[in-house]
Amino acid sequence: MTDAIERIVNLALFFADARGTVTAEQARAQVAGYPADQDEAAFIRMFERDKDDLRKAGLTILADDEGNYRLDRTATFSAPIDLDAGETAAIRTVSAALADDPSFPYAADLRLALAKVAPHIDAPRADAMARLADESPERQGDDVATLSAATAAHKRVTFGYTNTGGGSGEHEVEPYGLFLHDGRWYLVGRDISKDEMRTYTVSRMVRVSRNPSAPKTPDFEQPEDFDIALFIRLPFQFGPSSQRFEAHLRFDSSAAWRASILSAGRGTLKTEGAEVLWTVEARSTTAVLRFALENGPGLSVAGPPELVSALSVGLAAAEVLHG
Amino acid sequence: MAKPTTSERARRLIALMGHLTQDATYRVEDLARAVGATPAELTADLEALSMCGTDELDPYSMVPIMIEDGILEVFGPLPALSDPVRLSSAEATALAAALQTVGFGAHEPLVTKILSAASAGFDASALEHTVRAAIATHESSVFASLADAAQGARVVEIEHVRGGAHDPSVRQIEPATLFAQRGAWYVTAWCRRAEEWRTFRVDRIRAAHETGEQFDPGAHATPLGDPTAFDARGLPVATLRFAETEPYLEREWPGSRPIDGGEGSDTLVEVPYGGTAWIARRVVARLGRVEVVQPAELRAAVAALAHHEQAALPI
Repeated sequence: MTDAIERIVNLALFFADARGTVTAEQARAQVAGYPADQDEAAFIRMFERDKDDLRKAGLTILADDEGNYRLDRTATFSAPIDLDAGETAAIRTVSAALADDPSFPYAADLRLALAKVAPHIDAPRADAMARLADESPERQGDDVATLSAATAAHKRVTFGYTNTGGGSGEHEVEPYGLFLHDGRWYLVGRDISKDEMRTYTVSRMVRVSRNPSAPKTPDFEQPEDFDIALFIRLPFQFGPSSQRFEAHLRFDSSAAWRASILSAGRGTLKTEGAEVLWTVEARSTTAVLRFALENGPGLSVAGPPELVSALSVGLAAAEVLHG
Repeated sequence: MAKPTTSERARRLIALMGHLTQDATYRVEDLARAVGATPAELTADLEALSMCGTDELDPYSMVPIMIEDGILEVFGPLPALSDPVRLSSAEATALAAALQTVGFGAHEPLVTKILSAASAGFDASALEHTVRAAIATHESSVFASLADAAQGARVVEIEHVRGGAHDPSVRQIEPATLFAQRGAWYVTAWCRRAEEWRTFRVDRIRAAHETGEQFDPGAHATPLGDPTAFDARGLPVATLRFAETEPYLEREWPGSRPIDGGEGSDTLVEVPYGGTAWIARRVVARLGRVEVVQPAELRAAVAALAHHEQAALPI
C-alpha cells in the first residue's frame, strides 16, 4: 500500500510532468496512492487536502470552472538565486540561530525556506544562536505563532490578559500586527469590546486562541493604512499623549554614525556639519534624559530649554549625592 | 519534538528535490539538519521518495535515488520537480522576518533578491506593515561581514566603541559565534589585542573589514557553555542604592541581585560591571535616584561624570 507521503509527492510529480491541463479523474487514475475502491466524495476530500499540501510546499496549482487543473510553472519554479558570499553567510547564520530559537514563531518554515534558497543544501551549520524573547521563550513563540496565523488569515483571537496594574480580564481582538521589542513580543489590534486599538504584551497573555469557526472566512478587514511601525516606540515615547513634547538631541561628530541606528526611524535627523540633530517626539522627561545619557558620550540634549534645565537639576543631584 | 505531519514531510522532500543533482551524493545527516528532521525520519522519507514517480509501472519514471549507510546517491535525472520550487508564502514570511532581525528591511537588495523566489501570493511590503521582528540596531553590512568571516575563518579588523566610551578601539578579531540575546546581536571572537575570548555587541561595531588573513578555528580553547552577552564571572561588584522613586529591574542591570540592608523603602543591589565608564554612565542617567554605595572610586567616577556632563550643557 502506498504511503500518504508517496501519494502527495506522486501528485506533485504528476502535475509537474503534465503537458496542458489535467482533471481530478486523471489524477485518480494515474497517481499511485488513491485507493481504487474509494467513493467519489472521499476521493475529492483527499485530493483537495493533497492540493492544499502542495500549495503549502510552494506549488501554484490553477483550476478553471470546468475542473481542469494546471501547474503554473512560472509561478512554481524559480531560477537559482545568485547570492554573494556575505549574503549567503548572513542568511545561513540567521537561519541557524533562529531555527532553534523557541521564541521565533516561524522556525519550521524558516528551515524549509533556507533549504530552498541556499546554494549548497549540505553546507555545514553556521555557529549561531538566538533568544529573541528572553521571558518564557517557548510560550511566547507558541502564542505568537497562533497570533501570526490569525493575523494573516484575518481571524479574531481571544485571550486572558493581566495588565501592568495587575488587573485581569478576557479580551477578544482583531489582530492587525505583531512586533518584537527589547526581548518581548507585542500584539497590536482592535479590542472588540472597547472598540479601540490596543497594544498587548504577549508574555502577559494566557489561553491564546484563534476563532475556530469558518477557518477560511475572514472575520474582519485590516485597515488599509495600518502600519505596525507606528506602534513601535522608543523607551521615552510611552505615556499619556497630553505629556507629548518635541525633544532635540545632538550627535556629535564622534557619534554621528550611530544616529540612524539609535533613532530607529523615529523623528527627523538633520545633518549640521559633522553633527546630526535629532528631533523626536517624547512623552517622558525622565526617560528621554536617561536615553540620552545612557547612549553617550557623543549624544547630548539640545532642547527644549525645559528639558535642558531638568537635566541640569538631575546632574546636580547626582553630583551632590556622590560628592 | 512533535512528530511531523505528512504535509510537513512532503514539504521537506519537495524542498530537497530542487537540490538533487544527477550523479551527486549527499550525507543524509546533512540533509536532515537542513530541513529540521532526524536522520532516521529523513531516511524513511527518502526511501518513500525512491518509490515515487510519474508512472508507477515504468521504473525509468521513478525518482532515481538510493540510500545506503547514511549516504544518498542520485543515479539519474529527476523525472520532474528538478527545478527549485518557489518559497511558499509562509516560508517567505519566515525568511523575511528572520532577515529583519539582523537589520535587512523589505527594500534591502538581499531581501529583494531572496523574495524574487517567493510565490506570487507573498508581499514583502505588506509583511513589513504587519510583522516587525527587528531587534537589530546595527548596519546589516556589518552583520554580513562578520557572518562571512566566521564561516570562512578569516580575520576581521573592527572599529569598536565600548559602552560609555567616546573613541573607537581598533582590534583584529577571529569571529566564532554570532548570537542574539537581550534584544541585540553579539559576536564572540578571539580578540588578538586582548589575547582572550571577547564578546562584542554588533551595534557598537562601526566598521568591519576582513584583513585577508585566515585563522585556525581550533587554535584557542573555546569558552565553556553557550555564548552569553554578559558574563559576570570575575567582574568587580558595585553596591547601589535605589531610591523608592527608582524601581529596580533586573533586566536593566544584568547579573545583579538585591541584598539586605536597604534603609526604609530604598533597595540595595549588587551589580557586577565590566567597565567603570559603563556603570558610571548608567548611574548618572538615574539623575540622583541611584547612588553608588561602594566602591569609592566608582562614586568618584559618577561625581566626575555628572560634573562633566553639567559643564557641557548648553545653558
